Amino acid sequence: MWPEAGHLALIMAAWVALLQAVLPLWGSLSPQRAGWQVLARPLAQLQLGLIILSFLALWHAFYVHDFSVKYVAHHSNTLLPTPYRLSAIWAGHEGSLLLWVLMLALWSVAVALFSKRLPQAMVAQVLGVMGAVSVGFLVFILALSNPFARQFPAPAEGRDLTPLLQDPGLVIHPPMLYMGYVGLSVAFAFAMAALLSGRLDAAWARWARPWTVAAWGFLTLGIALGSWWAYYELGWGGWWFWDPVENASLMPWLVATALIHSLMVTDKRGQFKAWTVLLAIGAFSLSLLGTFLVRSGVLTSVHAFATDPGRGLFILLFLVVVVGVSLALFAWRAPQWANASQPVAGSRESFLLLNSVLLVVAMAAVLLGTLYPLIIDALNLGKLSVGPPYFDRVFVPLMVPLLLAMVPGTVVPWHVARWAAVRSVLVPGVLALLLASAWASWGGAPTEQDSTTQVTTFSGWLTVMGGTLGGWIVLSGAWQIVQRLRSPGSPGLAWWGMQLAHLGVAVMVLGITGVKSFEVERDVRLGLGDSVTVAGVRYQLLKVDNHLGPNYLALRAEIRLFEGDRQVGTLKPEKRRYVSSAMPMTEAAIDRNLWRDRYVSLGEPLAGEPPQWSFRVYHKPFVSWIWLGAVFMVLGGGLAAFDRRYRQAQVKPSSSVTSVTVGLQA
Amino acid sequence: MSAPVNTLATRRMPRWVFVPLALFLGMAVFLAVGLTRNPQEIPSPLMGQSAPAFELPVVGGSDVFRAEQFKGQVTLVNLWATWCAGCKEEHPLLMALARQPGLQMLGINYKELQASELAGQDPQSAEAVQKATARSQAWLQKHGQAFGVNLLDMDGRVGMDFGVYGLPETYLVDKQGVVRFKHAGALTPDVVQQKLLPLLRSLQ
Repeated sequence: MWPEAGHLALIMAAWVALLQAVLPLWGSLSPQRAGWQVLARPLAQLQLGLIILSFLALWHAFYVHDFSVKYVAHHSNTLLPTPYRLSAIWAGHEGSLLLWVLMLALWSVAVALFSKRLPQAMVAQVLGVMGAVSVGFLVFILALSNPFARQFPAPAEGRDLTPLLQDPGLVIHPPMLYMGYVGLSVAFAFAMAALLSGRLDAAWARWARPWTVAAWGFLTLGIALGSWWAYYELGWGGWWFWDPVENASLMPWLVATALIHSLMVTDKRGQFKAWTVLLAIGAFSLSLLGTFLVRSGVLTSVHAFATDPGRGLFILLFLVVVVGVSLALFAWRAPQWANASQPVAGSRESFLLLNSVLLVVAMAAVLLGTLYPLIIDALNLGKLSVGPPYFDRVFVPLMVPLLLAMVPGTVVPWHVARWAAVRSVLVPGVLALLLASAWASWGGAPTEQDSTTQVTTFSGWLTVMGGTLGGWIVLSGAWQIVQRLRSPGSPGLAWWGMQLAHLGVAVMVLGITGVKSFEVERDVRLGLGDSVTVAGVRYQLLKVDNHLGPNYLALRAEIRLFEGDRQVGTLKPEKRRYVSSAMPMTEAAIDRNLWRDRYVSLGEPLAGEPPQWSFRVYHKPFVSWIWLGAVFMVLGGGLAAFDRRYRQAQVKPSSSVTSVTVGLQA
Repeated sequence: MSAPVNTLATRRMPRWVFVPLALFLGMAVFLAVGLTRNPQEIPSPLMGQSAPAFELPVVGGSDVFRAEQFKGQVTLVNLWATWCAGCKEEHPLLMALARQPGLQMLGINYKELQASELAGQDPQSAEAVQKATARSQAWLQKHGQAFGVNLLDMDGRVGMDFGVYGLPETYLVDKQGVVRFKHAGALTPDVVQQKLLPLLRSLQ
């Protein structure tokens, strides 16, 4: 009963989405039907209600173990603990898409609720475009990925959720990532509204800014959670693998980062208009492309999702329609927005242009690396894969100038070049260079005796450069805050958000530099009582025993950590074998603090007498800073999104003033 | 997506505005071609070559199967194990294929006992072989006797010679003992209908 109700609600949601796509847009373009524009908000709300109903129906099926629903039988079983039973809804293709449309409907309703001060035509157009995107996905779900499909006879037991996904990190990672992906549809819809109406002024940019920053924040959080999960769950101690699925989320992030900066120029200076619109289209198109790459199976990936060429074809057609139409509209409108004026070299605009260009080039490099195997295959030149060495080699040199531009970009004034301002941040820069050199020479001498098995990659210049850049951003941020607090007036939440997010970037850069420079990785075999010394800490294997979990059997090792003779901790890595699948899972044990992680993962039992096990023992300095930096970025984005300035009633048509005009209308 | 921003505005449509669209459409063509390819089709160096020479004991008997026995009839070689989930998934298709006339079905039970179970024991020892035999037979009893001949590859050497990438894997060997088809991963109805069966007909 419930699944049929959910299915029906989804069909109705598709019709409502179609009305939402057609009526308000038509109303906004035809003066005779202007009245239809008011339908946008109620239709968005109705659509959300129907999709929530459908989502709850699927949740109910998971909760009561209704294995006659194929999707439930494939992703759950009776032993699965309740929280995972509920999060299993987004473990597979069908449910993920349902989550996708739910997020889209949530963003639509958020726009409907917080758009009281927007012109009616713009609300109608934005919600209309979002409705059109929703139609595409709802039709896709109903036609090719129905999560409510039944099977008879119903099996007595389900197949279980993939053990990889039975983890708290994976419960919240997909919803956050999808919030980000789908949130970019708001910026896209704003861009489409601008293309349709031809209206693209500072006010438009100001409206679009908080939405874009919010979506960017969710995307940042989603990517960071995914990376953190891979770090402790896959047991390899890596935190980024340049896997196609990871790249699919990084590409929209890079463009969204460029977009939030470009929007600022459009808001403050009325420049970069065409470029901003193009970035807004690009960010969402890359979200759709990511969905295509992940769901169509054109690329192989460790994330190995089920593949179906029919689905791939649908998403590709949808992608071509959405992106093709928007880029065609862009070609039609963009010439009128092209400025004749070049930004003055050394002005804030010039640094922000550099930021945009570098981020887009970085995206293009990632896109090329991700699609290269596909292109080579399509040209019948064979099969190959592009690995981390390519990405590292291309990505790092692009990030260095980006980070270099970050500091002067925040202190120089708009429109004019004032090198005095740049010079003032050079003092923290030199200070940072000295500190980084000291840091590198302090950590640069590993004290390991057995250097043959050590796989540390130490490259001095990278350490000094990463340390300098990170340190420079932190120090000059602090310097700017001190300067700003001395001068009168409050800087506003957006300014604080910017400082915090930039601090986050610096913290992440320091974390990556620290772990890349000073990590020690040892693959060892240990018998009971054996020990290994890594980075001054002795790891001694005490015992290995069996341990029974709710739906798995685990081999659990107990390892004691000693510094000299003093015990400093105990780690219990596990190797789990889930009842419903033979796939073994690694649960790494990590002793973490702010300065370093001690990471042990249990490998295979090794043949021989007495018994031995293989272990990975890693010492990872500063690794937590990577995710700490991401948290700062997200909080900074949150602060910026809530700046009161974005909620002002009226904005002067061309506000070229940099000073903040504080509106008291809440 | 690399349109220059500050091109001089002209009344006519400047050419740069079409650059993003052109780049995107170019990419879409590659994506469309990519859809028709299967990344799971890993080219095998064995393709068009003679199947590797080997000799393995037949499960539950005293017979031995030699690679020379490929000659004379088309053989489907399926590498499998009871611990492999994909093998269970594709088994109904193998059962259907077993009903095809003129096709010899050969199962190679690859590393039935994994390193963790052997715990240092010799995989060729009588005890290990006995355990693997029992498990292999019980599994086929339960899921269906798809294989005319089922072999035990305890130490995985033959699988290695075939270049096994992951279980299951399926090969088609023609009457001359030449490998003509390889599929990595579980067989799907599409693969069987569109690739395997037409090839089988052409080989017979």
